[in-house]
Amino acid sequence: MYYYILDYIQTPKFTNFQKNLKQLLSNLNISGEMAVSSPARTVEEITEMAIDRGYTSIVGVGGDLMVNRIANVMAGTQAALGVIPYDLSQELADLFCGQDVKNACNALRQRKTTFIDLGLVHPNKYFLSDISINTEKPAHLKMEVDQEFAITAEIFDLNITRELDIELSTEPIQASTSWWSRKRVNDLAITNLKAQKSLHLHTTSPISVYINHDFEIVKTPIQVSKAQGVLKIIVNRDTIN
Amino acid sequence: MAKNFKNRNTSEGTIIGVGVNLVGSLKDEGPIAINGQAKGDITSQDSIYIGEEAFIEGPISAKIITVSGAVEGEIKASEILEITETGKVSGKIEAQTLIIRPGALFIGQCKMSEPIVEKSEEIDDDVDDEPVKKK
Repeated sequence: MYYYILDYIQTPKFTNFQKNLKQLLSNLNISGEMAVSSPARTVEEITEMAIDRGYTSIVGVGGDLMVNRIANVMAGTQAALGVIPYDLSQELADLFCGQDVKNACNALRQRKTTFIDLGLVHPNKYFLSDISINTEKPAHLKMEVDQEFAITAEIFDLNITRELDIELSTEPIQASTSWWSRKRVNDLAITNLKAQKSLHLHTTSPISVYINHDFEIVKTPIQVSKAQGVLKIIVNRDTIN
Repeated sequence: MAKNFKNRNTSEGTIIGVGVNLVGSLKDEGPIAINGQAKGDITSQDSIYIGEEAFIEGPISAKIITVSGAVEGEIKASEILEITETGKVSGKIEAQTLIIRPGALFIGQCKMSEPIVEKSEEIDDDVDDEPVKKK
């Protein structure tokens, strides 16, 4: 009972990729219904429909943002999320079934599952990839961590992982197109923290919080916590739980 | 879009950067480095480094503590406390090994704790296997 959700990518390369993928899935005997997301039919709507129809394996075919959008809907359900990579980050590829499409399809067929934690921006925004704040001008931030301590700072960048690792910078990080010309931010301006349970984040005025650095999910103030074991995912057979 | 941090090293402990002000109780099993300001109880089961630009108010405790900035309050190092050339400490300090570099400033009381010596049974190499004969 596999249901495949394809990212909305309109390129000849992706069209060709889809064609080859269908053949590969058929050869492995794991063909299923396929739905292509579009502005008229969002990833979230398709995922909800697949869950309502009782699919037990919902597979995202695409990149990080798409996988996050599916995960947000699937959190707390019994359906398992699989991923066939297409422009997927190494971080998510490592979590799921790697960067190789054939290997990912084989993992889907074997269907080894495990439960993972997600980050939760209250009340109902789950995240798999990091959430972040990036500002051109410094923003006044107050962050309370685990009700143990609070920090205040004028920040340019903030990153929070699903495991509640927090990294922020009080100096702007210089964007660059190539690694050799990238300017490093002053190391002393970097703060690294880990929250065990939750954190509250306030700014003087509302600031956009992004997932995948470009998709706004919410504005500050936010409360973030770890949602333990809420997402069932399909992983490589040799993955140690 | 896509401005990424270069390092994600929270697994290496906690780092409080320049321009950050922390209030409250900070505890970490790993090392802590503070380059900003902190007021409260700072505890590590490993080490604490106070950077040159840092200012800390409050008790600090760890195995190894290095102070290059300013600290007001009690410092308790179960092994080594080092106050470097730029370090300024005002308060009560306790350490097994204390290093104060030339140029450092220390005002307060100092208590040197004795190293914990593990007792071991002495082995006499000259002991014969033969039982002692009573005369």
